Amino acid sequence: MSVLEAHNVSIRYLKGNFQNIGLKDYIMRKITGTYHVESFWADRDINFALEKGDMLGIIGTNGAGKSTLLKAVSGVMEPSIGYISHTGTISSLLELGGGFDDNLTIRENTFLRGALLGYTRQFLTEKYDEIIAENFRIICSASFPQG
Amino acid sequence: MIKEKIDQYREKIQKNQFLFEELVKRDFKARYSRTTIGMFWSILNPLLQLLIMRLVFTHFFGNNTPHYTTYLFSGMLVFNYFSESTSEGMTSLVSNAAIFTKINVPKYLFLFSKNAQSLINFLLILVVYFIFCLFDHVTFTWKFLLLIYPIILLVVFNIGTGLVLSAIYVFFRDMRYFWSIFTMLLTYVSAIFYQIDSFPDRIQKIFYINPIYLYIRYFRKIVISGEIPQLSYHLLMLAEAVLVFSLGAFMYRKYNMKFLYYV
Repeated sequence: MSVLEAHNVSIRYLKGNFQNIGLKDYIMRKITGTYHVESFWADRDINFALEKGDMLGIIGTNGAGKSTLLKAVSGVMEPSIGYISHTGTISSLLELGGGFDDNLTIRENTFLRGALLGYTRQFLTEKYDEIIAENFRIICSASFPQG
Repeated sequence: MIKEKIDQYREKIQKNQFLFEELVKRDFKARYSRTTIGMFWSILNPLLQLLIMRLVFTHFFGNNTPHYTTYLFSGMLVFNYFSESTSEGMTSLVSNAAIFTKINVPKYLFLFSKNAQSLINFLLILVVYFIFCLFDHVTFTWKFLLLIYPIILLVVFNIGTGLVLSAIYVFFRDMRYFWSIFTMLLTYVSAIFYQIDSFPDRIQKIFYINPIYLYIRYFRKIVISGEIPQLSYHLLMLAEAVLVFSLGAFMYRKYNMKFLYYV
């Protein structure tokens, strides 16, 4: 089996006015008929298989379904049709700034991020200096509590 | 077969343990970093509550109830733990939306992290509770060790309720208000500051549907009366905790992939 495979993957995405509402709003909207949920196909019939060492570039215009496909690959979403299979672990690098907390020190933020990506504590303690060295410029331009 | 399952669980726990610890640290800092007396307040608050209730209610109920301070404190101890952990846990999923919409992590970890905080809080207050028991001239017996049972069940029950609430909260954001009203009403039907002896038997049985009352009564029976409740009582407590936890786990499993559309 390949390292990463997508078989006939099609993903439905939901949009509508159902977000961030309360029970009261839900009932009101249902009664007045203004509650709507649109679903559309974000991706249709995607197939690919990657071996170890392969690199795949996914290009598309805005709203083409690139992020949605990647989310399905990483397990955040699941395909409505078809399946994705993989061996080993998947780390997501979607939107690097996500999850950073102002309350935490740089070290704590790094460890939290690393934990979210699936690394072990041991790995992070060993590689911490390397990580900081490589990202020094970015870190200096932000402001964090001492630590 | 069972061994495989246990190994699977152990693997899962190991994998998530690091992330869980980091989340607990993060939530801990988020809660206490901007307050000066922070943790101290978490203990001071219930003590002040206890003091006020003791002063006010002793006049009405205290004369007939032995060890009224302990009686009150047992009720408040359990109830506040439940109320605090469920209220804090309810918003845990939504407030971590930025993470789980982008990275695949077990969503229940956010709730567990909040519950860990509440549990630590509870244990601190528990220590104070025992100190107060000393001052109230309560006899300490080996039976106190049995308190582990309601405590563990309470943890399970709180997590279960938290799972249910945090899932509902994603879909219906006014759950927060419903819940705070509900917990307020619950304070009055959990026999925290009164005894149920004056009610007819029929009404007394209704109290047993309230899981919080069950846990409170267990504490009181062991600590004040030195009696161990019946086996059926233990089983009832267990059933209610397992029931709620199963419901919560079911909801998280069912709606796992739906949450992200609603945040």
